[in-house]
Amino acid sequence: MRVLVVEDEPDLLRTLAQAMREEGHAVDEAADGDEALYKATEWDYDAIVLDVMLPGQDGFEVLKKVRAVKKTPVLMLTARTKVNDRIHGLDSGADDYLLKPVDLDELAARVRALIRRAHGDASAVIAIGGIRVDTAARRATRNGEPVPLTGREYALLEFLVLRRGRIVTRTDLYEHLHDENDTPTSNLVDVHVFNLRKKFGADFIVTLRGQGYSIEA
Amino acid sequence: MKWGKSIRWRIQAWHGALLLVVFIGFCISAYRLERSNVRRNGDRDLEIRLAAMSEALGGGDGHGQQREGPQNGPPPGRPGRDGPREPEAQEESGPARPPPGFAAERFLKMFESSREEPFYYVVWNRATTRIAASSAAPPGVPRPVRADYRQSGVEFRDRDGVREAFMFTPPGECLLAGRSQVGFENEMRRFAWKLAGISAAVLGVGLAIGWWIASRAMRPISQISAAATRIAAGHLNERIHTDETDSELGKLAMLLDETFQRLDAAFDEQARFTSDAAHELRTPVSIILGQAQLALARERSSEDYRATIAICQRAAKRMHGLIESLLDLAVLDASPTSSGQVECDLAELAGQHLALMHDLADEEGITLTGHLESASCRANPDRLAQILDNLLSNALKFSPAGSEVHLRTWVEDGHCCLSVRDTGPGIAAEHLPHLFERFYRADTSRNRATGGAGLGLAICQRIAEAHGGSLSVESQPGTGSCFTLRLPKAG
Repeated sequence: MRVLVVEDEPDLLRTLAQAMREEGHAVDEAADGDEALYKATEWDYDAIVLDVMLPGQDGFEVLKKVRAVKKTPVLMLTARTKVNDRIHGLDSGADDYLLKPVDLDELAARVRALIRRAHGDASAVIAIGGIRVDTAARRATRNGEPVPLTGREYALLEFLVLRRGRIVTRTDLYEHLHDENDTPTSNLVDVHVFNLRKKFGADFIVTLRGQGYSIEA
Repeated sequence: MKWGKSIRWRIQAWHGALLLVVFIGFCISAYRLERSNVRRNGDRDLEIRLAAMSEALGGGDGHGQQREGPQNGPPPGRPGRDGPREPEAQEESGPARPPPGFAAERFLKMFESSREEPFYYVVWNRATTRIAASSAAPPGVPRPVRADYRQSGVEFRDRDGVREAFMFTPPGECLLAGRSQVGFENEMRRFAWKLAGISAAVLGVGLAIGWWIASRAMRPISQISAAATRIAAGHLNERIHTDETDSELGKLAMLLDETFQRLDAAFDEQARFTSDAAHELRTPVSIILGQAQLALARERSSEDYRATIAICQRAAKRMHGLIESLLDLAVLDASPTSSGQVECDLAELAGQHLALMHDLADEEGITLTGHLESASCRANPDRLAQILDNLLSNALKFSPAGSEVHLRTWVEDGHCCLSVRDTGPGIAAEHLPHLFERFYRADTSRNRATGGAGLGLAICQRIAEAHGGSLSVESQPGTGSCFTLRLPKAG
């Protein structure tokens, strides 16, 4: 999943981004409101972690402008404990709220939940036929047997599973599995799809010629 | 509120008591005045009648009658009851020769003709024999005793509900005119009731008016009390808002409103300060906690650990700086005047700092110059050093390479002055009024890590104030800023 982390404090930005990356997300970073707004409207992120106190435009302004064009799930971070702030944030379109200091595990869990809910899945475990994908533990089983997956493979699997029944283009896959600093080789997606088919069965992922990939619901 | 304790009730009670005393006094005086007046009139009436009687007796003299007539008095055989008819008969028979006692008969008639008037008369001759009496005369009227023979005036006496006037004629007859006091007493009683009724009515009106006046007078107090109750309950933004701005209470209300305003502002300021301080502390805490959590999540390389520790150290340093600043402010807030003041020369202190900062200025490519005139003042040198350090490092931090920073000290109008002028980007006019506020950062695009928490200038200003001086700023975007510290000159 591709996530945008917005935080003006460089050390904290680094910490949050690293935590998100270790969760298997492709992470973009923004250190102020303008950069955040540009990136958030330019790309389709799966989730945005947005600090309220930002130089330039603050988090609320960024959120309002993003909401005008995108439905991206947004989790706001604030050091202010005022209830008003939280209400204001949620009313301006934030999907969730976390107070600093942030527990990184909680942040990761909330981001996962946001992404899941954005695709209409309330439960963390998604079952398709004999295949179960546990988005909380980032594991998959086939007929009850654990299937070993690399980080990228799991990310691709989750991306397709969350969008099951729909066609996912190769561009989508590229954009959501790589961050702004990656320069993936063009056939990397094909390699991952090939490996997933080997592990879950050839017909688990359907190729629609000229359009992309799909997993049947 | 217990009514006994209520000022309004107390005013009303005093007012009522006062009115009551005034009215009782008034009623008693009016009653006595009226009573004595009516009595005097009655007495005059009796006197007139006595005079008429005396005249009638004396009238016998006027008609050439013998003095013996009256001296002998009316014959004892003539009872008073037959009086009314007999004198007529006498008169009819002609005035030529009136029988003895004729005059008595005349005034007897006079009395009897006005039966409604409860007058009566009794006449005694010298020998204390009752010689004539009107029909209305109660039986057994005692003959008055002449106390003093030389006295010939009319005397009065009160006897079982009657008032009697009597006089003695020179020959020794006693004339007595009496009147029952029953009518008089009834009239006086009626008058007393009327007086009491009117007084009660006026008292009632007076009490009502008093209540109204007390209510009017108390209204601002109730407003103040109600507002103060709401404010005490935690609604610090409430105000009294009385309409009577000119009255004493209105002024009190305004004074209270101003006090509440300041209190409210102080609370807001305090809340904002605490919230800002918490916010500033939360960020480094977040970094330390996050980094620790990441480091502990899995096995990492020694470079990763090193990086984590370096990040934690930076965050801890920031927290340390912030805590020191907060403590500084707390100390400055707690003690209005700075302790440890000694005589020191601003130029000397500035010179030391100029030397210290030269290397840093060179690194940044900034020309640091000074023009230092001796300026001796009483101050805490450590605190002054704090100001100098802050102003100089701000100037170096915000000025681009190639610009100039000029430090100057001089004496002017009994003040020791120190200014730090830079040719940096300057400060926009909208930021200038807030520049010395706590946690205010004019340049929000600057990073918090390098920009500081926004407490430096607030601390500098508090130090200047603690020395009885001031810190001010002039700035023009594009041309640079100039911070000036003014302290009272020593001696």
